[in-house]
Amino acid sequence: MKAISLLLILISFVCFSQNKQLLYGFSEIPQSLLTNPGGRVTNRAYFGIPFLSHFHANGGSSGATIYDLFAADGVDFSTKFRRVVYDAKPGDFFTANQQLEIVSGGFAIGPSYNKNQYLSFGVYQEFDFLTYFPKDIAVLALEGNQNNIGQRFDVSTVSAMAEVIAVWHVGYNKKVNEKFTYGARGKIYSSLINATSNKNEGYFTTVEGENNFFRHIFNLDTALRTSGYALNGEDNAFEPKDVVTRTLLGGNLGLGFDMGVTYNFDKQWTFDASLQDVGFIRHSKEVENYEVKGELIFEGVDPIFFDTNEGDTADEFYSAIEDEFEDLFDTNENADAYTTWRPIKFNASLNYAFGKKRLKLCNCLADEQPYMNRVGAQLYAIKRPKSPQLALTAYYYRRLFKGLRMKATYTIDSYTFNNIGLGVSAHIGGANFYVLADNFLQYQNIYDAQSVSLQLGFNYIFNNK
Amino acid sequence: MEGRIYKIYGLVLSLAMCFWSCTEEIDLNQAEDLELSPVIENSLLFFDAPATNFFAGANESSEFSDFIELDLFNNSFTRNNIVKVEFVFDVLNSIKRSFELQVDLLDDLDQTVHTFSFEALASPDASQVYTKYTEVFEGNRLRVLMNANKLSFTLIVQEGEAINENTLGQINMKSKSVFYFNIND
Repeated sequence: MKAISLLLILISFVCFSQNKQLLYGFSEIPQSLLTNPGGRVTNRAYFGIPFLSHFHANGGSSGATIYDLFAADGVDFSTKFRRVVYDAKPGDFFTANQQLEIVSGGFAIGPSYNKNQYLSFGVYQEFDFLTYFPKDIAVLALEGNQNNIGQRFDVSTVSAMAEVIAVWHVGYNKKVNEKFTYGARGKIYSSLINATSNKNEGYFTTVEGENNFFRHIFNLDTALRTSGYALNGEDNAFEPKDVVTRTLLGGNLGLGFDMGVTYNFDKQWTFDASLQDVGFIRHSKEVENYEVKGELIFEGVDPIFFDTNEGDTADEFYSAIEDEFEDLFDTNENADAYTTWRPIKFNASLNYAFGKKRLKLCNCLADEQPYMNRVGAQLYAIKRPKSPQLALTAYYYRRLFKGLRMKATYTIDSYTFNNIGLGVSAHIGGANFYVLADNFLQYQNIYDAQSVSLQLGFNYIFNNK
Repeated sequence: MEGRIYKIYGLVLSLAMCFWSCTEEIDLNQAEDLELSPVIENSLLFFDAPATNFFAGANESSEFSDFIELDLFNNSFTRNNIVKVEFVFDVLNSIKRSFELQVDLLDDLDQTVHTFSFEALASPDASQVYTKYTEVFEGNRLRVLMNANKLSFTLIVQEGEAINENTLGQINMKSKSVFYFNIND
């Protein structure tokens, strides 16, 4: 039971989504090409400062917050725990995502008079965690079956995954003409560790019996699949050096790609869209899978007082039932290879740029200068086991002074209707530093935040002359 | 120049306000206080028998007996968190003889550690007579139950009117166990 509460604490802390609404379209930051390989390129080359070029952490809960559960408000903890469980909606989820770029870089290619193509590459590490709130199981643990006769406790409410991967990628971007740019990125995934349990089916229920008080029905088909961490084999136990070898493509491997486009209707109106992480990972090394599968219906034991068959005793009957129970809950282990699909992400935005700088010298608009402001709407979707998660963002972008860019966002998603984000990217000579964070309104009480996200990094950029 | 300074100042101020976080107090140690008290009910023994199963002359009594091995308390989770157990019996009897139902709990050495019994009353007119009995295990008695690993069940037909192949009526028993947990560590 402690384990459950600890899990709940853990997931309350690390609940994150993967929406990068501040980074998407922020073309002065080279890493924006990771959210749309067909995005606008504004530099001629760049390199990321190793390990510092992109850090992203993001978490969210569509249901309860840490504050709901742990506020020092004198309310009995068990009462709050019950409230959290009962208030949970089916499909409530907790997510966490973290990325760390190890190396990255990019440079323009093409004839010297028209370098309209761009290659970018890098390696990053990613941690991804998602669990749906297993409400039925939580209610069963809280109440038992006494007050739930006839109630089905559905095991499919148990759905969770966690993984750490390294991603090696190369992207190609081509500005075909003033209107159209496209790009694609190939990825090799190397999974360090994976645990997936998202195909659970079945239920447990207690109904009125025919011959006895109750009929108990167990119908289970559940599985937990793991790779990279052999829990049972001591020889195979995960070691720190494995982190290095598996990051260097020594883990369970997979392939994937991103693609994207940008289309300028005119100088002010732009549309862009991208798909990320269309790919899979094949888990065949250090695989351990656990399955619980079977069906059992139990009404009790008939003492068979009157049976004429010699040797038929209630105990034999009961032993047979006990064996069936053991078979049902006996965990079958296997090492069958399995495939996981990366969570596909979709981004699209419509943008309008306006407001040129007024030059003091001639009191006229600086026509050659870029527009100072941009507004737009962005749509984000990520495929998750039960249903896609969506977010809609409105933003305002502003160039401040020579070397400062700012973007403010307002986002509606599964977590909240009042997510305000702010990001700045500073450019001093070739040095670039950016920091982007959202859910500012909730910083007043961070523990009550339903989601927070932070991205920051340092690059060195060779700007277009 | 002055306007630019104000601009920077305004930006820094608004950023600072954004990052301002006055966090309300939380207490993670509360998790220690979590108490769950689920109640689990399980079907136990049942039977349904017509009077003709109990041929017996007047003033003759007869016994039928059987046992099951129990391993309800073999796991440490149950042993550590159980606070009360009830065995509940419901009997409907429409036979004109009464029955005594006796339950013996035996330990590893087949020694009886606890016994209880109750009577299902005879039906005077072949209508169903309802008897309910609940045996509660708490405290010492619960500890005794946890040491039992065999449950012996005996049905004793009490003396009364003779039963023959034409005797009407039947006896029907249902039973369940109710486990009260208190999980707090």
